[in-house]
Amino acid sequence: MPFSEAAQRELQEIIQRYPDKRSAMLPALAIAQREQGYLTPEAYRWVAEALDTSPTWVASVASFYTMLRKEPAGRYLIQVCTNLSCSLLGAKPLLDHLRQRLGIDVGETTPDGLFTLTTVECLGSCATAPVMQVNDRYYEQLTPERIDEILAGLRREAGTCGDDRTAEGHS
Amino acid sequence: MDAIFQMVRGLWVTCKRLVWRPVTVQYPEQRPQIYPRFRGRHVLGRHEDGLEKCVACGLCAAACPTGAIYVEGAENTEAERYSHGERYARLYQVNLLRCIFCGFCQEVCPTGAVTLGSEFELARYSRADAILCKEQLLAPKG
Amino acid sequence: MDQSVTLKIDGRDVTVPAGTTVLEAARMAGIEIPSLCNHARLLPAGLCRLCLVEIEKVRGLQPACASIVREGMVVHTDTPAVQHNRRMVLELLCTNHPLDCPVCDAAGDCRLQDYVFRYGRTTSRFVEEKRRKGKAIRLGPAVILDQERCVLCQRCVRFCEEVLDDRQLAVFQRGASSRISTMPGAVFDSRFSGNVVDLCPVGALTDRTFRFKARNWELTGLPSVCALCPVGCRMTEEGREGRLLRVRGREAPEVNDGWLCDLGRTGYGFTEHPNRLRHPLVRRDGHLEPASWDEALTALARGFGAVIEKAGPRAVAVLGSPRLTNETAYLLTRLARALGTGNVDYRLGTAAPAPAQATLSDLRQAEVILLFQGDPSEEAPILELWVKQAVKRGGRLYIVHPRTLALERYATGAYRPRPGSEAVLIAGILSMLEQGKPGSLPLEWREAVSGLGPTQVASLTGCDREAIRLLAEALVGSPRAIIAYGAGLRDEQTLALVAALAKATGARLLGWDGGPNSRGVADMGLLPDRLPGRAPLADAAATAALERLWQAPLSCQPGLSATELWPEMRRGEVRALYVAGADPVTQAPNPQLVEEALAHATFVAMQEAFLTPTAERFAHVVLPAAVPGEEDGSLTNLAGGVGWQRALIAPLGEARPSWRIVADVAKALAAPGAWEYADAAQVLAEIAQAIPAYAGVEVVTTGGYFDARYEYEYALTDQPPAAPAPARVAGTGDLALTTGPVLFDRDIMARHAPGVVGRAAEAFAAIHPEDAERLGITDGAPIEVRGLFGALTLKARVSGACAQGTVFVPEELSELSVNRLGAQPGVVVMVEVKPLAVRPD
Repeated sequence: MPFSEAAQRELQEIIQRYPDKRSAMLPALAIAQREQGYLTPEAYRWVAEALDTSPTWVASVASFYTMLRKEPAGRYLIQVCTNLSCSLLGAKPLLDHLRQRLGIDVGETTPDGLFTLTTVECLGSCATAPVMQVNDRYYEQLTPERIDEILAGLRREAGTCGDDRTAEGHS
Repeated sequence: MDAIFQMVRGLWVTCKRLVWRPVTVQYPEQRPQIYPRFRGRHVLGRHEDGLEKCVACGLCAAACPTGAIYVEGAENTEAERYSHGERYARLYQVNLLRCIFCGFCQEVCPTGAVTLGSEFELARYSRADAILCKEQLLAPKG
Repeated sequence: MDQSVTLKIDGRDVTVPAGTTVLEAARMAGIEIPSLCNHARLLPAGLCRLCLVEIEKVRGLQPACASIVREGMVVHTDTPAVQHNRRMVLELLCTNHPLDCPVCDAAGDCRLQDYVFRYGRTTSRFVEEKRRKGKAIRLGPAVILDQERCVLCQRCVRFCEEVLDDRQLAVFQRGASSRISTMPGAVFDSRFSGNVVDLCPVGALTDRTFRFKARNWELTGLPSVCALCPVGCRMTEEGREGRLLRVRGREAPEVNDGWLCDLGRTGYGFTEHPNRLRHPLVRRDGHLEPASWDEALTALARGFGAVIEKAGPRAVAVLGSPRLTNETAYLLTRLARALGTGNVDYRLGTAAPAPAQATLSDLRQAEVILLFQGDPSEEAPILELWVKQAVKRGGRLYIVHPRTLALERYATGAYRPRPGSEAVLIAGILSMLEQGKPGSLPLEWREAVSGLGPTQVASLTGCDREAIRLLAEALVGSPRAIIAYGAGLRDEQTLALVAALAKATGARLLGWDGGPNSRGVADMGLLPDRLPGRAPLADAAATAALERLWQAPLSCQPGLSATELWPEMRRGEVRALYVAGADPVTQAPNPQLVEEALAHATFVAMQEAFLTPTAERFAHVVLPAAVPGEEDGSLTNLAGGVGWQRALIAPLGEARPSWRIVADVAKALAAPGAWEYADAAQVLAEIAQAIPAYAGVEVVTTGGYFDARYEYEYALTDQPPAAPAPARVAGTGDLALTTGPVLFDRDIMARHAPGVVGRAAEAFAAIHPEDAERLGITDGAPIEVRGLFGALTLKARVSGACAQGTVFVPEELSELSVNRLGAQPGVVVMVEVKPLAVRPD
């Protein structure tokens, strides 16, 4: 899948901002992820060519960041915070609840391709713990019942509206 | 007088021995008892699943004071697996003519593959026969 | 940098050059500071934290590998704090290290093992389960990776980055999950990939061909020299129980500096090839049958004796090869001259190399490099690294080559003259020099280049006029310029022009051809018009000296060159041929002629390691020769350095060292003079007497090798260059044929090695995308290339690296003879290329 004209333009514009092209590596990877949903060797080559470096180097940098996805995600990427505040307020049971409801383990995607479940370190919203993030949206002060509601809502949304963007990049 | 006493003492020993049970063993009809710490011919052990314990690390050959052991390793493949892990002994030879049964090989073996067993009948008709190969040294399967 | 600094390490005063690291200074003083990531030939990285030392007046422990010495510095390498740090680092490294030393190839040659033994704790406090990572990952054709054993010193990564400038390896993921890898799905495919195995301080990277064959302490090693390309890399041969198992690079800053290409590293597997000749063969009733040495030598003596008796010694010819050692070549020359024939040569379609005026160290530091008709990557791989290094230091690279080379990324200028017009380009530069500064060329040269104005040169070569001027300026403007010519330069005429250009600009010459020892073999006098030392035949003093040394009258008649030989043989003028190490049927430019000539020969004897097509079809006697690794001998590399190749193992079967075979043949033929030599070193001692340029050369027994340079004047550069004649064009096709060696297929022996098989590309022909489209050829499709003497079926490789209007076919193809297409020096061969219908299998 080739990269869009817009992405090319955006990348070139970002490169202009840095004295050393390679400094634009992370924004470039974020663009690539937004374009394709996740990063492929093709994306590494695209970035490497634009930044005048080796694809291996780009892949190496990408592998450092867990928010840069190396596998396709489901339509809804659920990230559950398991850091201190959330864990104190019951993130672990909530995670188990999610696992049971979705029938998948952490890091997996449901067979219908709707949900991918991951854990994440601190979403920066400790005041409203426990927290999870679905794509770009926060869901706070969670309880098992609230999770069921959210899942039902997301399923409804997936059923009704057409092509919504999935698993956005988090730049 | 002293001479007579000496003779009587000697006869006493003789007479005493006449009624004792013989201590010799009628080998080969009768098998001698082998003690647990006896060091006989080498045996290459197997794991319970039948795979060879030897991984061809060559420490036995390195420790051997007489250079009686020769080991050559090779890589296990999915199709042909001889041992756990990546490496197995393609060749394992012990030259019994050189071996002094010191047991260093057994002591140094990291996987407990080499043990000095109980076999002691090591005479051969030719020198070449005295070099045992892996197949002869391996413990039977099962 | 001649300032020196004095510091105190562990109470000892140490004086070292400024800029030295503390680690290096300690090493010089004989104090060991343990380090895993530091390597003398890589930049400091400060990654492993094992080399931390105490430096007075500096807070905290400091990495010795990354600290530069200062005047008055006081360093302590053995305080409790330092020891504690070492213990801690080693304990932490071992938490996830699998400790599978018994099955690890590095055991016995492992830094981690040594350091834990010396500095570490005896037990580990770590009881948790170890982290699992990838095991036995096949990184590429030469290297296997075990990620669990890796200590993340990044030596391999830094080698790719600093030395190769080709980042194929990197650290992936982070923290405790970090691991070395290639990009997902990619293979570590480099001509130098094996070096990372030498660099790895632990057993994470292992050699695929050596894997598990022997333990480090079981190996015996000998310092030797690689005999597979003209660089002559210094290396160590290691083996066990009569088998050569491993080859590793050896420190030699003036040659390869410890690096080896994968051909050298894995190519020696041929020693065990099942097709090696084990017995002499004698032809009886049309079949080659095994025979004893006595039988074979008797048959040989009878065969040659009959020819000499009937037709005189000049009916005998000797054909050598650039793969021979100096000793073998020297004895061959001596044998031919003693028998009374001048028909000796080794050149099958190449020119004898001109003298080397630069060393490889000069190349690494060159300011301007003109790479003329040579592709270091395929022909002399280490030079690729040195050219990159020169460019990295600010040198400028200019390339004249029919194809786009891998090195072109580094080039300031690249010139692709039309095939056959390369000499015109050189002459054009000479003429430009004369125009720029009249009188700068000797008078007789001016005629050669007069009439080649810039416009005309530009139109003849197709190169930009301004670009040519820039090249001329660069060459003149730098005191450290090097003209490096490669295997693509095949005719003496162009060579004379290149030598003239070097002389006119003050640039130094460095050159090579496809043969590993061409320079040495030419020095030994294996040429029809030269004596050993390349003295002209008419040189009475040299002749007299040789006659005294050889105790035999010399035949000083110029003989036939390898090109002139075949027609004479077909006419029956030359009737007997002795071939050493060559395979004329596949290597000579005109295979048809060669086959006809050989069919007319009365007697053909060969010494060879494998049964070559020539031997199989035409030889009456074949003598089994030893291969590198099995015989001693000296090799002269492209920079004129002499290296001593060592026999680690005995020759296979009844094979004998090549030089000994020649001596045995001489004895069997009752050639005049003494032919008793105890060993190759004795032959070398005689060479040192016979050839003034080799006078100082001797085998240094301590260390077991020698490296010597010699200077000599070869008359070539004093001959006025001739005006470049318009290239002869042959063939009826519309694409010009270019050819050259490809690394993994270039050596007729090494291509049999298990580690090399599969790395050489399937016989291919490269063609420009536009030509391909015009001819309806797709990448990977079978095509037919028809040349002067026949056609080859090859796989098409559509590549922009190949200039439009040309087709590139590798010179040595495992099974096929590219000479069928008729490539020959000084001739542009036009070939016909057409797609073949794919046969359904």
